[in-house]
Amino acid sequence: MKNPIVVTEQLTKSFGNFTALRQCSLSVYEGEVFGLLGPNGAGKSTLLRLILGFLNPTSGSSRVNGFCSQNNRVDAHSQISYLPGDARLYRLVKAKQLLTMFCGFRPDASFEKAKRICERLELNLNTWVGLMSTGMRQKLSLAICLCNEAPLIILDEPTANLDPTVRGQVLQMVREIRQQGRTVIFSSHVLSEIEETCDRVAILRKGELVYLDSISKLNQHHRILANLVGELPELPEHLKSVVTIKKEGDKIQLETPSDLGGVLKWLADAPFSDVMIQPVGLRSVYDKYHHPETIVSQTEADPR
Amino acid sequence: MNSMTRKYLSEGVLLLVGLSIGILTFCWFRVWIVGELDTAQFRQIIDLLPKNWRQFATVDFDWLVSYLGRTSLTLDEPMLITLVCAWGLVRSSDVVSGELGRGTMEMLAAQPISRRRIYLHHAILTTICLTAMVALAWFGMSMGIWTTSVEETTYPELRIPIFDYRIPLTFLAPQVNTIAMSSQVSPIAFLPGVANLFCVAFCFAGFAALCSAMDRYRWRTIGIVAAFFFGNAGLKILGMGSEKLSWVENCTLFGLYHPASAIERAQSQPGSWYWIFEYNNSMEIQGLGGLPHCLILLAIGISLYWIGLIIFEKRDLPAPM
Repeated sequence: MKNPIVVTEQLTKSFGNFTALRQCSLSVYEGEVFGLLGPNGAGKSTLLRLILGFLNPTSGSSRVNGFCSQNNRVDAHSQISYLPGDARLYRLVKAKQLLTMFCGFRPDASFEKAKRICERLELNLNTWVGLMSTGMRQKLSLAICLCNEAPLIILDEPTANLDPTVRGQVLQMVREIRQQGRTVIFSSHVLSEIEETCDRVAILRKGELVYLDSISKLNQHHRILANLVGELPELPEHLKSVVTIKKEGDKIQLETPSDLGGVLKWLADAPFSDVMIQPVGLRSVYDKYHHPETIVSQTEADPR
Repeated sequence: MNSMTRKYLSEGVLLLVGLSIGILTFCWFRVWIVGELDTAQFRQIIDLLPKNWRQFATVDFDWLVSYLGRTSLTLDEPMLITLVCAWGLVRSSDVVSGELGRGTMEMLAAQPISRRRIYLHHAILTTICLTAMVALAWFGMSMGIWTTSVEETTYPELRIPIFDYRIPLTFLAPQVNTIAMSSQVSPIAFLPGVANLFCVAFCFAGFAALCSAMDRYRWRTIGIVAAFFFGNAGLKILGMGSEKLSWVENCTLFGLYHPASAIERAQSQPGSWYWIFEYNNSMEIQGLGGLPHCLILLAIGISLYWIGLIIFEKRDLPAPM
C-alpha cells in the first residue's frame, strides 16, 4: 500500500447553521489520480479549500504529506500546486510576466517548463492577461499550476472553458503526472473525464462523502434490467449480500458489485424477459446518490 | 527584485506616479505662490481678518506672516494631506479584500508563502512608497524655496552709532529688494512637519489595512476608510471652529497632526521637537511635543497593522463570488 499524501479526519465545516462539509474522512494515496464528484454545493470546493488551509475547519483535521493544513500552511502548500475552479489572474500584465511572477514564488517551479506547457496548449505568452478569453486564461492558469514539481496537484474543474482538443491535452497531462509518480486530486462535473483519468473516485452529496471506491472496482459493477413476467423468486442465500433488487411495477433492476457468475445462474431460471446486462459506470453510481428516482426509468431511454 | 515586490509595485505604479506628480507640483507651486505675495502685504491681509478666524490657525498669526510660517502651512493644506493619505488608503485597502474581491487571492495564497509574508510585504512596500511621497513633498517645497525669489519692502534706516540702533524712516519712499527665498527659509526647518505628515498617513494606511484584512469586498473597504478619513477631517474642523467642541479634535487622528506648530516650536526652541511636552515662554506645559505626537501616531498605525495581520492569519479565505 502506498503512503497517503492527503489525510482528512472527520473534517467538518459549518457556516453559521449551514454545514458545507460533514465529518469527511478520506485518504488520497501517492501516485494516484483521485476524482472528486458532486453537484454544485456538494462540498467539493469546501473540501479542497480545507485541504489547502484556506478555511479553518469547524472540527476535524487535514494533513498534506504529514503537514497540518491549518497550522503548517506554508509547508503544506510547498507540497501542493492548486488550480482554482474559477482561476482569476492579474489582468494588467502580459502572460509571460505573470508566469515569471508565479515561478518566482516557488523554488521548484520552472519558467521553461511553463513555456513548454503554454506551447503545448497553443497559448501566446505575449498577450495581455486582461485581453485573454476565459479559455486562454484557463490555459495560463494550468501552465502556472503544472510548471512545478509539487507532489500533489489539485485541479478544480481544470477542463472548464476549454475546447475538446485542449481538454484532451489536459487529460493527457494528468496521466503524465501520474506516470511521474505524483498525485492528482481532480474535481470535475464531467463524469467521463473522471472515468478516463482517475484511479479512485469520491462522491459528495450535501456535504457528505457518500461514495468512495476505485474505478477498476466500479468497472466490475453490473446492472441487470429486465421485465418481470411472473412471481419474483427468492434470492439464494449466497447472493443476498451482493445483489440489490429494485422493483417498480413489472420492471426490475438488480445490481451486483462482484462477479456475475452466480447471478447469471439464478437469472437463467427466473421469470424475466428483455434482460439487459450493463456495466454500471460512474453515471449510474452518481445518479444513485444524486438522482435516485431516475435509476429505473432511465433504462427505457438507455439506447444500450 | 523578487516576485512579490514586482507584483505589488506593478499594481501601484500608476497611482504612485500620479500622486507623486501631484504632490511635487502642488508643494512647489504652493511655495511659489507664497513668494508672489510680499510679506508686508500679507501682514496687511492678516490684520484685516476677523479675530475669531485666528482660532482656525494652529500657530501664532505673527509667525504665519514670516516666509517660513506661510510655507509651513503647505503641510496643513487639505489637498496635500489627501494626496499623501490617498496612497496609504488606496493601497492598503487592497492587501486582502482587494485580492479576495478580484479572486486573485486563490492563486496567491496557494503558493508556499505565508499570509504573514504577503501582508507584511505589502505593508512594507506601502510604507516605503509613502516615505518616498512624503520625501517628495519635502523636496517639492525645497525646490520651491530654491527657485523662488521674493520681494522685500524695506525703508531706509537711520543708524545710531555706538548703540548700533536702527530706526526705519517710514516717511521716505520704500525700497523693494529682490532676494532668494532660500535666504529666508531653510528646507531643513520643515522636517518636523514632514515627519508628522508621514506618521498621520501611516496611521491611515494601518487603518485601511485592518479594514481590508477583515473584509472581502474592496469597494466596501474603500468606502469605510474614506468615510473614516473624511470623518476625521470633518471632526477636526468642527473642533477648531467651536470652543465648546474643541475636545472633538482630540478624538481624531488629526488631533495629533500639527505640522506647522511642530515647525514653529522647533524653530523658536531648537531641540524642543524631541521633548515630551511643549512649553510656553513661562515654561508651563502646553501639550504634547512634536515627537510624541509622531510616536503616538506611529504606535496607532503599527497596532492597526498588527491587528489586521492577526485577523488575516486566522480568517477564512472565501471563494471568489
